[in-house]
Amino acid sequence: MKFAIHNLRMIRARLRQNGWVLAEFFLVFIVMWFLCDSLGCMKYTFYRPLGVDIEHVYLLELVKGGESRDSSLTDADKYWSVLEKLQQEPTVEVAALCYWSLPMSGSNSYNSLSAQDSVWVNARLINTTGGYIDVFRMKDDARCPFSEMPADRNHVMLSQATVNRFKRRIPEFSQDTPLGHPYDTTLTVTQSGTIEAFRTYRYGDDAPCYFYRLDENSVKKRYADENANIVFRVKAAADGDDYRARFVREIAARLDTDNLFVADAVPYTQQQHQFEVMNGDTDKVNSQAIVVLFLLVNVFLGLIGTFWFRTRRRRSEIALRLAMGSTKSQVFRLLTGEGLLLLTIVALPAMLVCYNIGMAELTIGRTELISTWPVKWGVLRFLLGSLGAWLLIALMVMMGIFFPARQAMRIEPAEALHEE
Amino acid sequence: MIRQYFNQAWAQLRQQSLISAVGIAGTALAIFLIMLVVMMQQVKVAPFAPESNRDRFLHVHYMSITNAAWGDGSSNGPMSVTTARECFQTLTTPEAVTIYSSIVVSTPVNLSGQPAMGIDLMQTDDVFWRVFDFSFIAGKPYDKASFDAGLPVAVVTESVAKKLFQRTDVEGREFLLNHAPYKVAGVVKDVSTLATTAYGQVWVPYTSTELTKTTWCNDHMGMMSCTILARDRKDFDAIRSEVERRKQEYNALVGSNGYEFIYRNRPYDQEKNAIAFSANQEPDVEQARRQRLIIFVILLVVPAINLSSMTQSRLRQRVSEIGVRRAFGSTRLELMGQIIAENLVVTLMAGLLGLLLSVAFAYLGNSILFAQEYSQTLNPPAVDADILLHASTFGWALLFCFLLNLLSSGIPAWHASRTSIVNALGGKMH
Repeated sequence: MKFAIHNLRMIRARLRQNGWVLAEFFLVFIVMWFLCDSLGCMKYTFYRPLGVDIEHVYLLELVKGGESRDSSLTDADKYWSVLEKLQQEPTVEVAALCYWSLPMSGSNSYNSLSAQDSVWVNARLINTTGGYIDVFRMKDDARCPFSEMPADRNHVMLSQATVNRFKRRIPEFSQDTPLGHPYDTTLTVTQSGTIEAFRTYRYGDDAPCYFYRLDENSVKKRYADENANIVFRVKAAADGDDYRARFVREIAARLDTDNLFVADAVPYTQQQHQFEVMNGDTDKVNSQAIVVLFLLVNVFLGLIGTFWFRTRRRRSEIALRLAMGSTKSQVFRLLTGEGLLLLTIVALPAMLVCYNIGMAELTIGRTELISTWPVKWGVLRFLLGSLGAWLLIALMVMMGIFFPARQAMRIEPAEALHEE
Repeated sequence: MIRQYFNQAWAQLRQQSLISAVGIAGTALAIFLIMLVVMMQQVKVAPFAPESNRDRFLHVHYMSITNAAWGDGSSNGPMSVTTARECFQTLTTPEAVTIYSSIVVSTPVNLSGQPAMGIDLMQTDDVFWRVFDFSFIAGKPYDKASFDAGLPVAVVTESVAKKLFQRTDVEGREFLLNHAPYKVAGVVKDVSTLATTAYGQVWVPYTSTELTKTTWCNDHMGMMSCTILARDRKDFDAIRSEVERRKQEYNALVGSNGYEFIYRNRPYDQEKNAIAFSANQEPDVEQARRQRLIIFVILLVVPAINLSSMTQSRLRQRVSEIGVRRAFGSTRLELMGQIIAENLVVTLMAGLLGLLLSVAFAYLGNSILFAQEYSQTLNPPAVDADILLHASTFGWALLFCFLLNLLSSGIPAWHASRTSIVNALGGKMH
């Protein structure tokens, strides 16, 4: 305690000389807090459980080539035939056919349903056959499973995130609440169950979705000429690194229907990776990490430089201390303590600025820079960010002062005082 | 005078080698990172083959349409050939307008009886070859006659030709594209995936496939995008007003079914198109620029503060020299100028080091730096010398060196020159 006060007095005596170091710490602390906050939130969101399992899941890549030999077949007929043949394969556990409804995909469609005629919630439409839930290992209610829901536009299943959005505005919202159709006010849409919370994107929040089931009839009637997606889950025992090559070599030929050919079976992890790159989040994490490293290296270099000169200028002072009975390790701690104290002094006003930046997110809305919205703003998040920033900079302070401080330890008192 | 600066700077560097090394490392690191950020932006905007006309491009990658019955809803995505032709190929102001498939699709190619490999296929018209400048090493592109007839001809890259035929002079040879027979019309040099609009490994006329039949919204939306080549950048305003006029005319036509096209201020120039992510949102160029500015400021100011403190400390030791100079008639401004100039020598040296590092990193670490979403079947994002080593690259590097130097040595120099002569001769700063 005495040591700290002594150090503080020294710092106050030489406040002007410390000007640059203080300015640098101030600026770096603010930027580091922002980056630690952003990276921390992104990484936390990334590692939270998804609620979907994409291991052993493959996306079937289909191409249309050449002329059709049977002109009575529509696209939907061909896709349905591929789906049925796929489901009969011994290595395939379950398969699903869907229309612009894949997770981690840029192809999507959104619409709104209303409750009590006035509260509209916009969510993503999932139009798929019953196997979808099992392919992605989502959880539905065993008493009213998705695969047994009536396959028409008047029956829908909400995901937990959609239910939460309704509940925020209508506290009494439940599974029995009838929903209004977007275009036809005379129709009501009945809820047939709920899908438990899941995230379709590793950097995103719980996904609000409306699930509609399709059966053979509805597919062939409503989507006769549309492009469909087929996903399937391979039995764990049958999957392996060579499954993709085996699939294209052996199974693909069995699935080809008319002029619809199977080109590839893409592991869903690749789709996930491509989506994250396309969204720019991979880039964001990488570039933010690089800036963190850059700032830390700068602090390191700056402190080596500053304390080097400082040690040389204060040779006589240090020599005096050594002559008066200071141990060498005490001198070492004096210098490192000075650096850490400077950092802590600056941390307090810097934290004030950081807090205001964080609050600004709530008032001026989501900016591109501070939009780590999957994690709510809170005091804990703010403090953790500050702690992270302080620790990282303190580490650099220690490393940067290490060499000049060691130099200081080696000063021979008699020589130094003699020069004076 | 210049020699004197050089000599003094060099002498100083040698005297305090560790501190000088630290200073140079700090400056080089700052310039390195700044140049990486500059290069990442340049790659999106600066012209290089086959997109050498980037500064004259106006892109319409996606389109948006709404219907009176949909309320606020809209459908967003690539457009149909009909829309592209009616709304953009009818324009008279530009030099050329090309229509091509919106994305490359991984498609199997093979020789009859042999296993297939996946390549990135793009489907285009004949104007494509006038708008983008490819280097043909054999044959030539398909012309208007072949395109109109829908002939199954293809232009392939060198790597594809080598993989398929084990040689590159394969003009006229046949191969199977998606189980259909095609003939090679020409072979071009490989195209980097960084050329986001023109990239492909095989190009075929879209009239030779069924791609244009995939449409929705009453044949208004489909799978195509288009790029407009203006005669000059100054024509952009004229082109935009003609596009607007054509939009009004065409909307009046399709309005009979309730449809209405929403352009969201398309067509976009190269810079805006490069940051366009989704089809239903207009990209905000100002915000992207602001973000880059903030990054530059951080990358400049933090090292500047570091270097300032080091420069200040170093100047302390030269206080008596400054005093002597002042006593002999040097003005404050001259003194400041000298200190800044000496610092400039060091900054430029470090800047050159940083620039070399960034170029090396861009070559070697290109997959880290330029993350690509397309599968890299045969070629990773190749970074060409002419993409990176642009005249503007050097210009930017020089500018940032100057700025860094000014920021880091300006205040210490000003401070040092203000010392009174008596104090300076006595060895005191104030």
